[in-house]
Amino acid sequence: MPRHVPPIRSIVGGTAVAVMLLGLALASPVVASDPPAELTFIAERRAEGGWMLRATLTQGGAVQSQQTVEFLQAVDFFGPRWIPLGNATTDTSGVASRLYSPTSNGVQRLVARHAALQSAPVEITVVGAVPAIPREPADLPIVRAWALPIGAAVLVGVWLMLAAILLSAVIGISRSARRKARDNRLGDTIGQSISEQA
Amino acid sequence: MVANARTPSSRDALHDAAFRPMEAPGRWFWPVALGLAGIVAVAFGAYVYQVIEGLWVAGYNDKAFYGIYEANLVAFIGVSYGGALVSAVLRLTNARWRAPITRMAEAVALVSLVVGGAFAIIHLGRPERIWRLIVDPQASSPIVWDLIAISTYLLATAIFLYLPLIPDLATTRDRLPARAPRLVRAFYRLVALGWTGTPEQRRLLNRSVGAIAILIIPLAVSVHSVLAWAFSMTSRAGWHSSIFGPYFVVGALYSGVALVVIVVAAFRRAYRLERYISLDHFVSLARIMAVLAAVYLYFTFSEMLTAGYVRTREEAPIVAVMLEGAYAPAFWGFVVLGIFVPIMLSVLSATRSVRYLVLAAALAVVGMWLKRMLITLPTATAPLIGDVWGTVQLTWVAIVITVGATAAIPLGLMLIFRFMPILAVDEMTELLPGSAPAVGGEAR
Repeated sequence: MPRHVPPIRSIVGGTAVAVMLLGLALASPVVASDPPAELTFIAERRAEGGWMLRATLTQGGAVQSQQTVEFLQAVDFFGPRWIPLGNATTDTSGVASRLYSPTSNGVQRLVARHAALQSAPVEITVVGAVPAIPREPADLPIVRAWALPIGAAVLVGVWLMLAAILLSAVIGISRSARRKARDNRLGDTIGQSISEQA
Repeated sequence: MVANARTPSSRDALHDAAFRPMEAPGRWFWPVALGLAGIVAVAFGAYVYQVIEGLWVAGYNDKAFYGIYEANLVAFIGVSYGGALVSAVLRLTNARWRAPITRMAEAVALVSLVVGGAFAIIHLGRPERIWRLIVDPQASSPIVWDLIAISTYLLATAIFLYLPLIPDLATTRDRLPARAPRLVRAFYRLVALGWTGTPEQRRLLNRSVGAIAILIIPLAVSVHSVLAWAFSMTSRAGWHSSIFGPYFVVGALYSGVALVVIVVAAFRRAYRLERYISLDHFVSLARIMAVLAAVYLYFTFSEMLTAGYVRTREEAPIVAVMLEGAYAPAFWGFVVLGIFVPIMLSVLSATRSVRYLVLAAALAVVGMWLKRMLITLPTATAPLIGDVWGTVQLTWVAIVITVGATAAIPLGLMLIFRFMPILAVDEMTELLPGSAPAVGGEAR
């Protein structure tokens, strides 16, 4: 016969085992995980122009070298989003730095990113940026005033020439054909009348 | 030997050959035409999908705003100029050997222009708004000038095809069988303009053909320059170049002559025209092609030398990415396979056969398409903010539309030659009299 186990003891025992297993399960990641990584980001204006972006990557106080950090800028064209400005690799001090030459003035919001880790945004105010696309050249008022009418006149002239070439051929050939047909008919009539008289 | 076109028997043979695509195109005609039409239909479906979904399905994004369609626009319209200019220049220089190939060159010009012009619409994200180009044009917009240039050139090309065709349309009218539908009869009677070949009609026709042949040359040059200026009048490194106008024109001529070689070879074989189109025609075209390839190479060298030597802040990355970076395999591949190999195949006596010259032409056409991609992509993907380059993905939509446009050219030519003789019969009769020596050598 099987040995009888009192229900209350088996429930208590089972619960204790379950609690221990659950405790182990919850505790084990904490024990196994690395200390959280931290990414700090600053942007410094350079006297000679541009901004130096610096991001420092640490983990549990230890600097992380040879890691790729991406710098991004918040933009609002085609919807709000982050666009990449470029990457840099952390040095032995855990610092990734790169020069940023803004191409537009105003307040810009930048962040640094390493894998899923993102720094707090930094706002910079840019003045005297060098536009990526140069400004429009100096206006040429006299040329500008004449260019469009002259261009339009040339275009109209070309279309008129094309029309003249086509129409002179079409009308001329058709007219010549009609004339020849009329002459033929006239010739036939004369020939017929001559033959009738004969 | 090319037949004497003036004796009755040879004239009959010429008529049989010229009218073969209209009267007895062969068993393969409809399967091939339907196959090509199927490809074009799939491409049209892909375009509808693109219109619904937006240009992103063709690989475009905010970091790659120009791509395959702009390259296609330049490439397809370019080959059109080649066809027209070959015909016009050979007419004006009175090159007698031109007669059997002018019709095909002129048809290539018209069909590829229609296909290329379609890319001006395909590359727009909102094609339904194209009517605003007409009702509210902005003179500073390149697309407005593209529209004007392409439509003007389309009209000129159509006239250039039609005028020399009038005597042959009259022959078609006279050859129509008694059972031909009345509508068909009326059509040919209308377009033949009552042509009977009187001296007066011939004088009028020659004057008009001469005038359009003169006009179409500066027109083609200026119109392709307009396309080039759409690039070079931007302040973008890699595009902002003073030689882009002639650079594009020479490139167009090079690829255009190459396409004429391919088309002439294909139709010559398909419709058994070896008696009229000989190896010498291909050799002459290949020589023109080789000269144009050399000139294009010179322009490319000049462009790279000046940009690469000075290396301005904006231009240096473009030159670097082209000569040593991500686009280097394509660039050097173009220089070798798209320029050097075609030149060699065109000028060496060992490769003087239709097969090798067609290979040279095919390399030239593909190479020049690649070059248009190389003109478009590096600058379009160069970063203006930061230094992260954009990327263009060759999506299935873009590929299918490009393949469909390519298929539309042979399809269009096959259909067009169902309505007109493939050889310029009247011109051949005029230019290849019985006393004339054979225009070509033996067919290989």
